[in-house]
Order: sequence, then structure tokens, then C-alpha cells
Amino acid sequence: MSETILTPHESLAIIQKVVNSTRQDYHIQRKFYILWGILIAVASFTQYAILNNYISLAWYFPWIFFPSIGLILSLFWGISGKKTTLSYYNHFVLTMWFTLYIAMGISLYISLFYQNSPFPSILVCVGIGTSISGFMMKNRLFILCGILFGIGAIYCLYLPFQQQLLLNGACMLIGNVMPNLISQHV
Amino acid sequence: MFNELDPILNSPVRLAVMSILLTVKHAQFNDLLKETQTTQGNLSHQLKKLHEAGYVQIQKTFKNNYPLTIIHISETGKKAFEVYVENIKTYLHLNENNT
Repeated sequence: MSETILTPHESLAIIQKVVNSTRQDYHIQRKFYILWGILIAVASFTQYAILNNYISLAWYFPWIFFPSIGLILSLFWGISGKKTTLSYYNHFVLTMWFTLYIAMGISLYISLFYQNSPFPSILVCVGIGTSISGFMMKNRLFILCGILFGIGAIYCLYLPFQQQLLLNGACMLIGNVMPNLISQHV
Repeated sequence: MFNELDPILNSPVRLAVMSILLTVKHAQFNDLLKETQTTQGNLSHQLKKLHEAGYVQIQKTFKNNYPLTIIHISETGKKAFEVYVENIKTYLHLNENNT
């Protein structure tokens, strides 16, 4: 079988074309971000309902029940999911979110220890992750949503705890679930 | 003097495959097929050549009863690609323009 031999100009053109056109966001598992955004929002709204006596459950119930659902589904999806092309972008984003989840867990523990509200620090962590993802993808929507989380974190400081729950839930839906849903269908 | 361009890399599909593999941690066969816009048979043939030269590592597995082929670029492949790009730059006098 005869092969096309490339000239240096053609070679350079192929390399430039391929590198520019190769998608860097191969198979981003947006369902994980959507799932966790919804679960944290629902947990926040449920705790608000509990604190206002709309539902009679222990105050900590939503923070055990909904994250457990998230963990089980994430493990199931992770194990059953196909191994696909992993871009360096995706690898970085996955590592970054893993680190941020650990940071959120630690800040939650610190907040409980000092009996402070954990929401400002959680919103900051999610905001950092969303903004960096936006800058990496060159996606303005994600950058704006990251800024929204930052504003939400500062605004949280001026709100009573119960309203912080509503703000946290709203930020998760608008800043996390919405951009991932939109990007999934683009 | 100009160095001869690596004959393994100096072919459109193989060069495209190597360029893609440099931008990803690992790639799935079907994604390479989409990006290179070639036929399944041709891609398999070109991958075999790259594999024989030690430029890529091919991992064949099954997932949910479907065959799954994952391709990685090897260290030898990375070095060969770097040398190839340097040689192209020399041919095109790009090194002198950039310095």
C-alpha cells in the first residue's frame, strides 16, 4: 500500500489543525456535578424546612441522607462507566475537584467544631472550582457562576443561618446545576 | 544539513494520531477514529505501525461485553515526535525566526 509522504509544510499544517481541533473536554462526566449540585441544594432546603418545623426530622438528617445517595450513585456510575479518552484538561479538573471536596470536608469539620456556619467556606470552594473550570474551558458562563459563588459566600456572612441555607441551595442550583445542564446540551 | 524526517511519523494519519495523543492522557480508539476521519481498518493498520515502532502502547480490554481499545503515547513516541517537530522547524527555518 503506497503512503502519502508529507512535506514539512503539510506536516506542520496537520499538527496545528489536529492540536487546535482536538476536543479537550472529552466525555466530561457532567452528571456527577449535576447530581451533587442538586443533592446539596435539596439538603439545604430540607434543613431549612426542618428548622422551620415544616418537616419533623433530625436537623442533621439531610446531611447524612442526601450525601449518602450521592456517594452510592457516584460509586455506581464510576464503576459501571466506560473508560474513555482522558484529556489533560479533564485529568486536571478531576484532581482539582477531588482536592476541593477534601477542602470542603475539612472546612465543614472546622465549622462544626467552632459551631460556625460552613456555607461561606463551602461556597468559596465551589466558586474556586467553577471559576477555574470556566477559565480552562474558556467558558464565560462558568466563570460568571464562580464569581456568583464568591458573592454568595460574602453575602452569607450578613444573613442569619436559616437564610444561608436558602442562599446555599439557590447558589448550587444557579451556579452549579444550571451551567452544567446548559453545557451538557450544547 | 537537513535530517531526514522520521518515516513512521511522516504520514498523515499517523502524524494526526500522535498529535492527538500528545494532548491527552490516553485516548479511546473510537475517539481517534472521529478525530482522524479515517476508516477503522486504516486506523488499526496505522496504530499497528506506531505500536511496532514503540511509539504507542495499546491496551485491549472489554467493557460491558464491548471491545475497548485504549491508546497511550510512549516515552519513545514523545521523544520521536519532539525530534520530528524540531526537524520540521529546521526545514522551515522557524528556529531562526523565533530567536
